[in-house]
Amino acid sequence: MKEQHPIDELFRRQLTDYQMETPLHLWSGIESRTRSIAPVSLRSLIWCASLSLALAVFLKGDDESPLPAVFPVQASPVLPQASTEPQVPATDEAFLRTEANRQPKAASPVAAPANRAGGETIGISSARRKPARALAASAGTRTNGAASPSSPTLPDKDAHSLADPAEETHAAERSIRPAFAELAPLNPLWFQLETQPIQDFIPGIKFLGERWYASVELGLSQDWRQKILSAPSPEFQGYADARKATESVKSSHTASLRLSLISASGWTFRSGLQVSRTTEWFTQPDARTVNTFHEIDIPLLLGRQFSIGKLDLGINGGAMLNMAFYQKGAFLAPDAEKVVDFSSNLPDAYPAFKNRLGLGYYGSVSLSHPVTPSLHLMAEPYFRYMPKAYTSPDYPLEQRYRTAGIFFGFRKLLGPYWMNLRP
Amino acid sequence: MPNPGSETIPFRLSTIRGGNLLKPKRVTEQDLVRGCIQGKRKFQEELFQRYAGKMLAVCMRYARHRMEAEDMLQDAFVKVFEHIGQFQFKGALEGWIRRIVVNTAIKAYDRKSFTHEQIGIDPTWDSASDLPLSDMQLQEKDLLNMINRLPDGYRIVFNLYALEGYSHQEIAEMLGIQESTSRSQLVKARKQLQTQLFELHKVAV
Repeated sequence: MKEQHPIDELFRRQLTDYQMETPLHLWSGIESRTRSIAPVSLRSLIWCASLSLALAVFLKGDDESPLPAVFPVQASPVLPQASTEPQVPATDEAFLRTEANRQPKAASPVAAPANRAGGETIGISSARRKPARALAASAGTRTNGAASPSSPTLPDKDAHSLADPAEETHAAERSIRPAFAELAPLNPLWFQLETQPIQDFIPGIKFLGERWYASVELGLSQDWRQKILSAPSPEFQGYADARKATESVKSSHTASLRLSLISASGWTFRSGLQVSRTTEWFTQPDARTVNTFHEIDIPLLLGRQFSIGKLDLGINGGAMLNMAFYQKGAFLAPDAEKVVDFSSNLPDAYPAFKNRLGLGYYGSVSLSHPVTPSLHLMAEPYFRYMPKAYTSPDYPLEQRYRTAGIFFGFRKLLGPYWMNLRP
Repeated sequence: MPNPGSETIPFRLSTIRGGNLLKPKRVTEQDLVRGCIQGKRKFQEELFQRYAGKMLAVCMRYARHRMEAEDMLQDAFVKVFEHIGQFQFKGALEGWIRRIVVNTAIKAYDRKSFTHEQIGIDPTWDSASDLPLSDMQLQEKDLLNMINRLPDGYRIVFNLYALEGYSHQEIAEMLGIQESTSRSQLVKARKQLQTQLFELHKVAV
C-alpha cells in the first residue's frame, strides 16, 4: 500500500470531489464539434472550385452554340426568303415575329396542307417555317425519306460547310489544339493534399467564420410528375390536345447523391448529382409504347438545419443545373398524321427536345433520425420545377414538368470524431 | 448501496435548438449511455452537464490556467462521445470519463516537460510534519492555484500520484519516462507545495 504523505492527503481530501461551475460556452463548443463530423478539407474545397469552374465553362459553351448540329439552317446568314426581304440574321427572333405577323396563318396546324412536299408537310406555320423545314427535314428522313437536309437557297459556302459538319468540327479542334499544347503539365503535388482542415492548413482562416462539417447523402424517390403541354401559338392548340390525348406519365424515379456541408450554427450547403428517369405511355390506336426521359442535374442548395428532439430537421432551397437531358421514344408529329421518333441516340432523331434544360428551382424539407452516431436515416419531401421548356425553341409546343417526391435514404457523417480534435 | 448503472437522475429541463422544451423525466445512467451511443444530442448534453463540473476541476489541476483547462475538457468530452460505445458498465461511468479526461490532459504535454529533470531526490527536502496541515483552513481555489504554479512535469506527476492514485511504475508507463524521474518530480512538487503552504501559513498567522 502506498505511503500517504501529509501534503498528498491535504490536496486529495479537498480536491478529489471538488466541482467547478461550468460556463455555457463549453457545451456549445462541444456541440459544434460533434455536430457532423469531418472538417472541410482543402482537397474538397479544390474539388468544389474545380467543379464550379467546369460547370461555368460547360454552361457558357452551351449558350454560345445552342443548336448547330440539330438545326443547320440556323447557321445561315440569309433566310430562304431573303431575296425579297431585308437581310437579317436567320436566328433573329424579332425578324421571325415580324414575318409571322405578315404571313397568313394556317387554319389548322394539325391538318397540314396537302400540297406541301417533303419536310413542309408537317404543318408548321410560316412563322416558324424556316426552322420547321429543318424539323421536317429530319422528320422526313424517318417518315418518307424524301426530304433534303439543306435548303437550295443557301449560299454554296454555307451549304458546303453545313453539309459536312465533321469537317467543321475538325477545323475547330485544330484551332483549339495549340492552346492546349501551351498549358503547363499538371503538377502531381496538387493532388497529394491531405484531408486536413482548412483552418489548420491556413491557420486562423475559417470559412464564413465558422467550422464546417461534411456528410454524404444518398436518396431514392418515387416521384409524382405533372406534364404540362402548351402551345404558344393558338394554331397549335389542336396539336397540343392531340399529344395530351395520346401521352400520359407512367412513372418517375429520382436518385440523388449529395455532399452536404453543415456549419456549426446550422447553415447547410448541399450539392451533388441527381438522376431522374420518367416513363410515359404513348398510346396509338393499334399500339401502346413507352417513352423514356432521363435527366442529370446538379443541385446547389442552401438551407438551415435544426435539432428537434432526436430528429434533425432541414429546410433546403436553391437551384438545379441540368447537365443532360436525353430521351427515347416517339410521339405524334405536328401534322398528327404520323409518328416520329425523338430518341436522342439516333442521328436522325426528331429534334423536338433540348439536350440541356438550364436552371430550375428546388425546395425540400428533410428529416433525419440517427441509427448510429454517424449514420442517419433520412426522408426528404421535395419539389422541383424547370421554368424553361424541355422542348427546343423551334418546336411548336412547349413541354414542361412539375415534379414532387419524397427521397428516402441515409446520411453518412464523414470522418470520426477524433478528426476534430486539436493536436 | 445503489447500483451506479441503474441510478436514476433528474432530467434537466433544457431548451434545445428549435425551441423545444423537454418535459422533465428521469433517465437511468444506462439510458444516458445508450442515448449517447445513438448520438442523441439531449443525452449527450445531459451527460456533459452531469460530469462537467467535476471534470473541469480535474482539468484545472493539470492545466496552467483556466482557458487551457476548458480546452482540455472539450477535447476530453468529444472523445467521450466518440468512444462511449466502449463503456461496458463494469465500473462507474464517472471513473471511465475521468480516465479519458486525465489521458487527454497528460497528452497535452510532451516528454520535454520531464527531460530537464535530474534523476534523484533533492537532498534539501524537509519533512512536512512541521506544517500544521490538519489545522489549516484552505480553500480549494487556493490549492488549485498552488498546483497551477508548479512546473508542468511536477504538476502532472503530483496529480497522477497524489490525487489519481497511480503508482510510479504506472506513471512512468503513461508518460514514457523513467520511474526514478517520476519519483524525483513528485518529491520536488511536494517541496514547492510545502514552500507555498508555509508562505500561506505565515500570512494567515
